[in-house]
Amino acid sequence: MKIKKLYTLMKKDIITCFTDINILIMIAMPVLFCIFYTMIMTVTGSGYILMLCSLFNLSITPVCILPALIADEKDKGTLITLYRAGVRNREFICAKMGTVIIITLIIAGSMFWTTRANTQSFFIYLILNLIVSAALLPAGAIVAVLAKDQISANVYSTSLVLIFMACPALSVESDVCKQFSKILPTNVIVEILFHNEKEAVLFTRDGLISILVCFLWFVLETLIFLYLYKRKGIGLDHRAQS
Amino acid sequence: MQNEKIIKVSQLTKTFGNVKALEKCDMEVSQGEIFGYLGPSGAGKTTTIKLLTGQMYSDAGEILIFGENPFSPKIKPQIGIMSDTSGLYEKMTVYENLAIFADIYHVDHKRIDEVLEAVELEKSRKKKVEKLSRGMKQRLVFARTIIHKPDLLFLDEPTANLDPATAEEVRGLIKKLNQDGTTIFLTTHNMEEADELCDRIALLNKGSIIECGSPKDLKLKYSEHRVVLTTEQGNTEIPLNNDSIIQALKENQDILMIHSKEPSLKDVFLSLTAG
Repeated sequence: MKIKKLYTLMKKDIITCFTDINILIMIAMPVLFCIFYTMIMTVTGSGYILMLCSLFNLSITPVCILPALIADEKDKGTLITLYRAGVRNREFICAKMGTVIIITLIIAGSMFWTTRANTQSFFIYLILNLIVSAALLPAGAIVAVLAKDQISANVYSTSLVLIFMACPALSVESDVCKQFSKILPTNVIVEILFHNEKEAVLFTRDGLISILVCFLWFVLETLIFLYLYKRKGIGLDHRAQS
Repeated sequence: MQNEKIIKVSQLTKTFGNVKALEKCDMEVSQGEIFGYLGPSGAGKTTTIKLLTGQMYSDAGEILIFGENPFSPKIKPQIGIMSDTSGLYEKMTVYENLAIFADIYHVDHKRIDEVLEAVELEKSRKKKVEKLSRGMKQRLVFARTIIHKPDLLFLDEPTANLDPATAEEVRGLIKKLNQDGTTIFLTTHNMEEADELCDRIALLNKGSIIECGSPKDLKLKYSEHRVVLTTEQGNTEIPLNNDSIIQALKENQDILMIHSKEPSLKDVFLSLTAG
């Protein structure tokens, strides 16, 4: 896998993120919501808003934007053009994943500064976003394999967004949701960021368990993705493109 | 070397379910020639290109491109593929679209200016692709296909859906590329285009190659070997031999035209596929 080729593909994908209206809306939504809720919920505190919007970002960006980027290339015929130019599947997918991680971190950074959270937590906040987005990227890849086009990708992604976002968001109000969200990778935002509002602390017992959960999700999703990819590819005769 | 075989296909077979898309096809393409692959829609032309370019596995047979199997990454820089799907990044400019592939192929960006000039899009370099006309998009796709100076081009119906003027421009580009040494494998259902461009053609029908040769040789082979004399009284056909022609010239003093009666490639194809 060549670095220069990956860089070219990622540069192209980042441009697409900001020129494709559907993807741009998905990127803008968490930031706009953050701005909106920061303005109207001054009493509740920046930590709660940042947690909610981070859950939104982490549920959408790896799970919706990754398959949307891949489906967009399938729909427009650019995927096959790249393959004909010798771009391999793993280069294509890695470039997309790299792009999604960068976008996730840009959104996360924008929201952090919007809520004026404790700057001492910024580095840990970015690390958490990196961990969770990495854990959820294979889920986005699974959606990309299963979806025929952007519309079906959005339908499949939405179901996953609700799972990864709703329970942790409601965990502050509901013990049932709290228990269930412990098995979700997005819970790490609640455990480490929200419950330690003054300053995020990475190495608490619950925090480390949450990170372990992320790792297990990553492994499980990757296995499912590899199985589905072997059977279906991402829209072409994948045996020819491995 | 002019006679070096760039493409060698032997007993190529591909089936989709119960449908045989290709059945035991054999062909060879020499370096520097324009090889036409003709047939009606559904004959198997696009399937053949996909097999030759490593986009699909065959069910049987062997394919060698520059002596390698079509999936070999070694040959990717040597081939260019242009098909009916444009695959352009519509929100990016003409230049940016070409820059992506220049980087993928490790080609200097100076080459972008060369290809833009070759396809007469240099003035549109900063235009977004979505603003281009269909003909301009087709020329951009052509530019992208040749940006890495491939030795072998696969063109799948390159003038399909184009207006006559743009189609003629694309044919001009094809001829120029061939003059510069590029070998071209061209599929089309336009017999006149194949007659104009191709050094040799293969006629494909229902997955099988039914004839192969130069357009001229095929027309001669299936010619009725007759001559048409046009006089003021009308047309008369006589056999194509010296005695008949000399006799006709002696008998008819008011000959206006003499021309040979040759079938077109379309006539040849229809006669081969009739019944």
